[in-house]
Amino acid sequence: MLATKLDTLFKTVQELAAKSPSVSSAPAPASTSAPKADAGVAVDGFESSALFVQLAHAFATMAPAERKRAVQGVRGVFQFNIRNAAGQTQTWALDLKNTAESGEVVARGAPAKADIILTVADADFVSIGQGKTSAQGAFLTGKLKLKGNMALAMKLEPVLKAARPKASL
Amino acid sequence: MWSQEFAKGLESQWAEEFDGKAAPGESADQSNWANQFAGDEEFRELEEAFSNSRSMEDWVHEYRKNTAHLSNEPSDLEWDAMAKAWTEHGQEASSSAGRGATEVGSGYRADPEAYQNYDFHDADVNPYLRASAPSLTDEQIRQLDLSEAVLALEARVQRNPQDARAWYQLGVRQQENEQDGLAIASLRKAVELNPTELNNAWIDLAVSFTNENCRVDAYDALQSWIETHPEYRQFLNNNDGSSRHQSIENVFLEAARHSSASHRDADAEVQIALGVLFHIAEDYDKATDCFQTALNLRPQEYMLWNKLGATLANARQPQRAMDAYFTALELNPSYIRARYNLAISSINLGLHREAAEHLLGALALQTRATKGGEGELDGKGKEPAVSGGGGLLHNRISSNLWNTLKMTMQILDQPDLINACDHQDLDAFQGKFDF
Repeated sequence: MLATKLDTLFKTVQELAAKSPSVSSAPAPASTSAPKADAGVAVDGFESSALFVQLAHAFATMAPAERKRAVQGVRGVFQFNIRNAAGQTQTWALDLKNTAESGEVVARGAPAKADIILTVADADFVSIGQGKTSAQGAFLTGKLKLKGNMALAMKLEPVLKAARPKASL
Repeated sequence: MWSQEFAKGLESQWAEEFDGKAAPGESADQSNWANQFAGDEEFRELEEAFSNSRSMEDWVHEYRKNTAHLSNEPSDLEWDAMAKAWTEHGQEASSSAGRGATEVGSGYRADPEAYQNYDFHDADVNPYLRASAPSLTDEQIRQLDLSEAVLALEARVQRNPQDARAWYQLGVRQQENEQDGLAIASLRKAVELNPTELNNAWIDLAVSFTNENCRVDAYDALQSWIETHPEYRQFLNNNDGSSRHQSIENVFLEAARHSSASHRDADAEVQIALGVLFHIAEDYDKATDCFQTALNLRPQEYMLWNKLGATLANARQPQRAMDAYFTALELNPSYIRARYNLAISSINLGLHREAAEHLLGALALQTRATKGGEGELDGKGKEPAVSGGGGLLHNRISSNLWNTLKMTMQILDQPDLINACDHQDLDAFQGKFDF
């Protein structure tokens, strides 16, 4: 059992490595499609789309002091390559380094320069975003593939958590 | 066989990968993925990333030991150690992520400038400010719909800014109205004007600060409640140098023990305060127990049902949460916050249309009172609305309801309706959503 898990992990790293040249040098396929005029974050056909909107919304509505704290703790540019069940890939960028002050931290499409690239299936990312699966767990089971500054991946969960809509007492 | 694959893999690729000299990221054209993927530098980076985890170092040693004996099939014990190291690392990382989250999401103090001034509705939209407006008793105001009550109370404190009780009531109604910013401003006025008699306002303040993620201010408010409480003040001396949270929790636990010993029942206020404290600490099971205990004492208090619901929601029990919200709404159908929370639960379940409908329903309730004499307020014992301006009531401050509605419209990718949210144009949603 454990051996199988480790095997999966190894395969993951191999797959990641095999794919990495295209990931780092070429824009992700779907991001080349013309963005809508409103440059919204949402994309049809992806469950993760809602998470990115929530993330954008959370940072846009945070008090400046709160936002500053959130960004100080992370300081990095994330690129998410999300693959849906239909086999399409959509890329989103989360920039907690350059655009953080403005509160506009999420964009559809690839960032100019990513510190870390995360590749994950749509449903798995939703599960991570909702806190049902840990990012580490997803990584260890090969569901989440990482390239770049690994330390940033560990800082992702608190950010996702802060973005989750919370009920009011 | 996996073991052969593993050994082969290590020899041909992994060994190179971890021993390779190429710096990562500068060689997209390299055919050798191993060199491209990870040189020593990246391995060091990995080590660095995990360096606060002792188990990760163990794993690294374990890994190196394993790579030195490639020909041997690793024993179950070694596999075990490796898997354990990963798991432990994962746990440490997630627990530190948890701590990080409280830092990211909460632990800050409100800007001293924030929540200082109560932002009133414009005088020309508030009929209760007119010379002809009848002066209402507390009981008459209680009978009004939420949005009418807010206007009536605003008029009262505008006429007499020293009316601490009116400020207190206004603050609580603004919580009900999902306006924590305004609630904080007016509750602050109440405790400023009358810190002892209205000391329960401190607990309400703690609630609003918690919702606004101003954790330090929430602790301050709870401490002020204890300080101004004749019976529980004595427990403050028990400060033992533990964390802020722990020392306040200790005082309240002491108060809870004291009250259940000296009275027959628990003190509902203490239970609510403890519920808030545990909620801040994300100990939702304990918070649930506290709010349940308080509800046993005050089963008709709809705001308490909502607190229970919100705690269950944050503990990811959406069904039980919704039951609690519905109980709150049965007790008070114009309870905006419970509707807002229903929307939040819907969003977290991925039901964005339903979320929008809950929000629209709440917004319709918030605005209908001032929409112009349509005579909705002719109910039993209700003072008729003195409105007649006809214009929609705009709140100049940002509203959670509109913001969240805007978010759901972004998720549903409705550019026109996103725009309507910016203009707080409820009519734009007519015919598109049921509310």
